[in-house]
Amino acid sequence: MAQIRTVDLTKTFADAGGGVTALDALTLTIEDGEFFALLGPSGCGKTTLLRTLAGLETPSSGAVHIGEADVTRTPPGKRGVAMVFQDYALFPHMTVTENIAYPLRVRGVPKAQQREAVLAAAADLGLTGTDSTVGLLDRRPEALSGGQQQRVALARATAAKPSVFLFDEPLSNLDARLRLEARTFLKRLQRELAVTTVFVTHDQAEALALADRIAVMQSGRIRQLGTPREVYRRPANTFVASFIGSTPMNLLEGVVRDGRVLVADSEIAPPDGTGERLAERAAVVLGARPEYFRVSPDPLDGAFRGTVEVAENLGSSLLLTLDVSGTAVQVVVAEEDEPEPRATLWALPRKDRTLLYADGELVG
Amino acid sequence: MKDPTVRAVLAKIGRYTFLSVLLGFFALPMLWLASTPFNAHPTLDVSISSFTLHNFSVLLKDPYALPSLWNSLLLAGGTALLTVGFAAAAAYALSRVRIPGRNGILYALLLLSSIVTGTAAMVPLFELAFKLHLIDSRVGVILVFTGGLLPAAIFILKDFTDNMPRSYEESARVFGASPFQIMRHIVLPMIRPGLATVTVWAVVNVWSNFLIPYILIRNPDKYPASVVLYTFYTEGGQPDLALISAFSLLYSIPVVLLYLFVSHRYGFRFHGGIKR
Repeated sequence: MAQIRTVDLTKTFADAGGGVTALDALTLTIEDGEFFALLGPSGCGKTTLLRTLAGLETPSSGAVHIGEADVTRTPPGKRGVAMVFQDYALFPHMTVTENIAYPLRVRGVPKAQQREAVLAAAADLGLTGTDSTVGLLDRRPEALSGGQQQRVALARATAAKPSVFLFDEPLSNLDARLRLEARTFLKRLQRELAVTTVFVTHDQAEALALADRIAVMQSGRIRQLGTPREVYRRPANTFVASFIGSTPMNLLEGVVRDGRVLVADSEIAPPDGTGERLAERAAVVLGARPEYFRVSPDPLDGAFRGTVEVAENLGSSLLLTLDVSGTAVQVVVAEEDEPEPRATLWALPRKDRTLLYADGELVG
Repeated sequence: MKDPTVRAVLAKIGRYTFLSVLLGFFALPMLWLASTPFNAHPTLDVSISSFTLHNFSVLLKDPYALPSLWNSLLLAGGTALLTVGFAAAAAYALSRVRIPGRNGILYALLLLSSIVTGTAAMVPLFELAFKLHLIDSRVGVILVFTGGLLPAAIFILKDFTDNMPRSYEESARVFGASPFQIMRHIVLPMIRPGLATVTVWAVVNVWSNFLIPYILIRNPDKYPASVVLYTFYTEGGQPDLALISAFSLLYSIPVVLLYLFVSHRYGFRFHGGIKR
């Protein structure tokens, strides 16, 4: 149980062309017991940050604190962290029992106590006590399914009794169906153990579903830090806006005119309280999620008027791509509202969910 | 009869004749090795005119024959141990530590060790051993062998360590394992097929080598089997086929046993590294 603090954490990798900055003066506090997500596209520095917390990378400058201690120069084994790797890194020449017991074996814990701890950890992770798990503890990792391998890796991490868990892409090696199951399981496990947990993911849905707070990263910097709700509702900049959401947000370029926003030949009402603040003819980007549109076959005031280009079935809903005077606008409609191909529709963005960006940053 | 049938039959006859000759070429020396030691009047033919165990009882009375097998075992075992130990450590280090030009170093070593071999290398090696007071010493022979085998052994094992995902070691490190523990618990067990390969290869190399022990060892008590084999001559200067064949049979047994053991344990999976 510990808080994690990084202070001006910088990591530069030497490279042929001078160097790559993976972490750029990152200052971040992760609270005790928090489930924290590092989210970003590949190469944004999220894995480097996780590995620096683990001690597998040494920062170029700055400091890492875990609990009360400055662990910047502490070797990985002495930080009280346990890490679960993307490929789980279960030792192939050891049985499940030996794998789970490994952290204790390294510390020289007596065999009998190791055995006890293994059984406890295995029971916590659902690796014993059911028909499908008979004899599982004596098997080698190669004889386990992907989901079981993940649980063994988690059991090994819990057996180490760490004050911090670090997960590197914990769900990416599972197939889609199993991933949802494992996600729920992981969230429950973290609640029960109440251990500070940091995990890395490139999947925004995973971060939204699991985390208490999310840090969205780009080029070694945090672009937004907040709860899943904050990050989803009010992305602080167009990068986060385009990254979060399973259907990408419409980001439409326009200009301010008479307190309204002129986008794709349509006049859209800006979010409340922004109209007066915006300079006339300022270039802005209007952000509206496809889910937050009122769509109608009849004319609506202040709406986009467009023709249906593409209709994609999402199961319970449909994702329509409208052609609005040459600009593509995506909206989601309920399954029973499927329009005719090339039908003309009016799409009105929900005013309380419309966002306005200037120079890439949120202004309202 | 139709033409294609005749051709097919002839082709079959031709193929089996060729296979028989090929088989004979390899099988006859083996048969000779299996039969001649038990022949009272050994010749270069494969035959047992009169069965006897006399050849072996003569061999047992020879003061150098059996001890030489023990000497061979010491040299081969010592060399295999040193080679595998150093090669594993070096291969692991070379595949994990970033040294500028590390591949260059390895290829240069490999090239040198395969060019400067045999007789050409013996003069400087002898001189080196002489200056280090390692003439007539088993340790000297083992060191010379180890030096010669190491580059290729490192090269083989590096393929295994290169293919090992780093996450295994990193995982162990995060759990607090020391570098020595990582080597012992993780790296060595995972490259075991490679270690077995190098062990067999080192043993076979030492077992069959004549020149190095012949030149570096003075005292006949310390001669390995490969050298003693060349001392079985009759008073007339003719090769003593009875002793040579009987000794050859004994000489080959340990290598066959080693092969069977390793093949049983590791199945000779020369695929290199770990498949995932």
